[in-house]
Amino acid sequence: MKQIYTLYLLLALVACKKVGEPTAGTVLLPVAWSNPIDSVRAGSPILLKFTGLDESTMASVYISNTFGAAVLSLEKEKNAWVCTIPQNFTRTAGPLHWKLVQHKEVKRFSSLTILPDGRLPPHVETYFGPRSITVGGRDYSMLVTIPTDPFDNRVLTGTEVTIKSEFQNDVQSFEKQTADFIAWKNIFSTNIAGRILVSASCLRTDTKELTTILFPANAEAFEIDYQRNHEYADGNQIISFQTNILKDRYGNKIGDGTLVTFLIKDSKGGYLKTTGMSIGGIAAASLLHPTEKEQWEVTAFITGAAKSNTISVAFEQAVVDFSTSFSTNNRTLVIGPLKSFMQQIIPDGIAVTVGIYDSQGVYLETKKGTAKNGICSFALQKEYFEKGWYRLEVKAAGILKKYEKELQ
Amino acid sequence: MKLNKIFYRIFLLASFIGVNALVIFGVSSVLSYLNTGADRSSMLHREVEMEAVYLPKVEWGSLENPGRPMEKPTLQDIEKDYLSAWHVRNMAFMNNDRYGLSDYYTDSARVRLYEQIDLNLRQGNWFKNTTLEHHPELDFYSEDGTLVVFTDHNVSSYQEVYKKEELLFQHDERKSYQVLMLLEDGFWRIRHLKELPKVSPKQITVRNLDSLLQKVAPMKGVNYYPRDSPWATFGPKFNNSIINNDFGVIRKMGLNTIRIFVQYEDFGAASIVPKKIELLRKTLYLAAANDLKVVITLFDFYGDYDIPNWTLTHRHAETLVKALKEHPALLGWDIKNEPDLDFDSRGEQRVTAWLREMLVAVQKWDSLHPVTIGWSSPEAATILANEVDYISFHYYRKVDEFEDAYKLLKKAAGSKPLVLQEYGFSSYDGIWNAYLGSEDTQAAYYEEIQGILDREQLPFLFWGLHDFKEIPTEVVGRLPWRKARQQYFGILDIDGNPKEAYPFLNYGKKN
Repeated sequence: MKQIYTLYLLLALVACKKVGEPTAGTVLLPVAWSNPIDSVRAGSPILLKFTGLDESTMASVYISNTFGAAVLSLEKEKNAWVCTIPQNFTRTAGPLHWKLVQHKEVKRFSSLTILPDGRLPPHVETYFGPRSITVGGRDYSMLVTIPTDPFDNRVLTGTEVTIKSEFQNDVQSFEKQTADFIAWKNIFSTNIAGRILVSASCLRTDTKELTTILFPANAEAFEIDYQRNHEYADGNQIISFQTNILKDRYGNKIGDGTLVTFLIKDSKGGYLKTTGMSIGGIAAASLLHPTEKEQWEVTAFITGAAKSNTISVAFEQAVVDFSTSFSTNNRTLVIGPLKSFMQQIIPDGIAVTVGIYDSQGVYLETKKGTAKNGICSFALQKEYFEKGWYRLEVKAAGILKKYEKELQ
Repeated sequence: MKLNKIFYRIFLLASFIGVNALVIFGVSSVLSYLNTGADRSSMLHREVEMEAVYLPKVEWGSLENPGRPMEKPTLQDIEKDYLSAWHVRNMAFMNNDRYGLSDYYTDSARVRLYEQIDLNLRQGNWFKNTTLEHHPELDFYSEDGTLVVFTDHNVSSYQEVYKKEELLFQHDERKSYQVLMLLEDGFWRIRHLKELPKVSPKQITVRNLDSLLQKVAPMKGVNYYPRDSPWATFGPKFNNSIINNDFGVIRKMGLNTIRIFVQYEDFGAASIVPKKIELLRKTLYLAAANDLKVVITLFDFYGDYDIPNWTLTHRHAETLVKALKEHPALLGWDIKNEPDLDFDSRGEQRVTAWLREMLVAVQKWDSLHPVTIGWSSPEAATILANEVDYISFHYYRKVDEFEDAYKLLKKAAGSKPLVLQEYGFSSYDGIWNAYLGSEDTQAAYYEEIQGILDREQLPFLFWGLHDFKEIPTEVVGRLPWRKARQQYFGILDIDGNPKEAYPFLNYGKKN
């Protein structure tokens, strides 16, 4: 059954006397209510009814609410003047002010309150953020709900809103009351990484599900280890370093993609660096074996967060010795064959250098080459090196050999 | 026949050159058109500097809230967008146009405004609205920084209600609102707006009227412009020593007050040019050094009293009043010179409404100095008589009618003190008044009127000290007879020598 709530505001029969002072502004005459209704539910029709108006001049009714104002004209109905409040005013909750204006003057004014319509289930808007937080119980996401009635008016202050959260099968429920348009709850992180689901319900309306992701906190100190095929410094095999499972202080695996830097200090005090991203909590990175005997000190870092233990890795000499043969004019040097730890030909690519000094011991040049099939050869051209005695220092796999030769 | 041929050739040649010129012009136009386009700097989408159009007073209260602590830059953004929301809404209801609403109201909120506009369009109603004061207080700011709730207490607003072309009525209101704004696409938009029933009563600033009015009673002085820069005291010709000399002359005459004028646009309108305040302050110091008091007339050459500009004029006045209210030389404020002359062009109601709001505001900002309005005639001076601290009126008519007009005003004014803020007589003697004026007639005028003023003990500020070589067109228009008359109101001639009226105003000697 369609119910119509009609509000009659009957005003006393007070004649609108014209008042003397022209500059005095608004003069209000006492108002008597025959049916004093001062609040009405949003959406109900409202009719203002005036009696005793001076008919000779047009009066109009100015109405205003939070969102705006309108001027309505009055219509004659039997012996009264009525005006119907437009729908957009009757649907907006809050004070509805009206003023009866005649002769550019406000003759009467009053206001009534429109209350939100609580009969139908409300709409509930939800705002949830930030959508990712870190574990540890200090960080939190905030769920803000804005319940409104079907006409988009805020529900009465104190309306109960149930906020629910779920984490690993643990469902919690909180009762909150609206104030300042909203009902809200901080959802704090736990010590376990994962996802927290939240939802809210108000009266008979349930919201959709919203999610915040609990990311692990910063990694704690960790351990590293290495793997290699053999211990020889052959400049060919790859040594790989890896971390143990990186965890935060609560035991959560840190997120994939965390960058781990392995910093290696060699026996000459130089530094080498290699990096790897974590997958499944483990980060790994590789490096080529050195070409000569080495002692490495390796430490890994997650910049700004954590540091590993330091491990040391020793490499044995792979090439124990090599021979150098010279051509008859001594202008061609053939170094090798270079042989590795099993007397096998060393894999291609090992570096060989020849330092060239003149007879007075003045340094002239260093020639660089790499071994192929264990052999590396150099030619000393006449154009660059005139006839005479030279000192040649051949270096490969950390072994230095010196020769005094006459180039012809 | 031969001549014909020559003409023919000339015509052919000329048309050939002409066609070529046209073709070249056409091609070059096309080329230059193709070379035009967006300015390269526009690629960067830098923020466009907007001129301030809506500047009501905003005073934030407590920022304490149960959510996230408020950051200052965010608060500025919120305030800016909140005021813009009011501004676009005011504009929307004035023009019944949706323009701009979608920037500052969310989808659901703007629906209400659209309905409102549609209704007003059907009914032929429109509204001019402005808010003058906001006192927001933060209720809630969400953790992710995208939702804010605040209560805007005691928003004082002024509205004119129109039906078609007719003004139905106007009113001022004080309402409190609670606002929920959401950060969407970089704009803070109003999602919910609700009027709250609670409005705290209007704070009435307590003003000790007795002490204010004691300052008015002994007022004897002159409306002052420097000789070389009439109607441009604070212009490029501002000169300390000239003003100091003039003030010395005024002081020597036994006068104690000067009235000076601050031009609205010249001082930078809503955002006052600091240099202009400095010049004004210098002038006040010079006045203080010469033992003179100063009445500052605001809003000179301002003629637009329209509601959308109210917040701007309020900021103008507030900056000036707050900057100078501590100055020892300040006697009081005059809101506007002869505003009643704008009644015809701007409408009495609109001008009066503007004056009333401005008066209340200035009285609030400065509770120590009296505030007045310089009406152009004794008859007009009854307007807002209850609101002003003392009544100022001007009189340029015949002396023998003065007493009647004055007595009528005195009766209407009751206990409010009166000041004859402008009066004077031009000694112009030339073609435009058929050589009927002279320094003698000016002297006779002053002799007679000073007698009345002394007898009635009416405070006065005569017009003016100097004769001027030139009168700016804005003052009295272009008509030469008006300009000529205006040039000779001084009691010192163009060379600075005393005219015959001088002795009658020389109170140094009189007493």
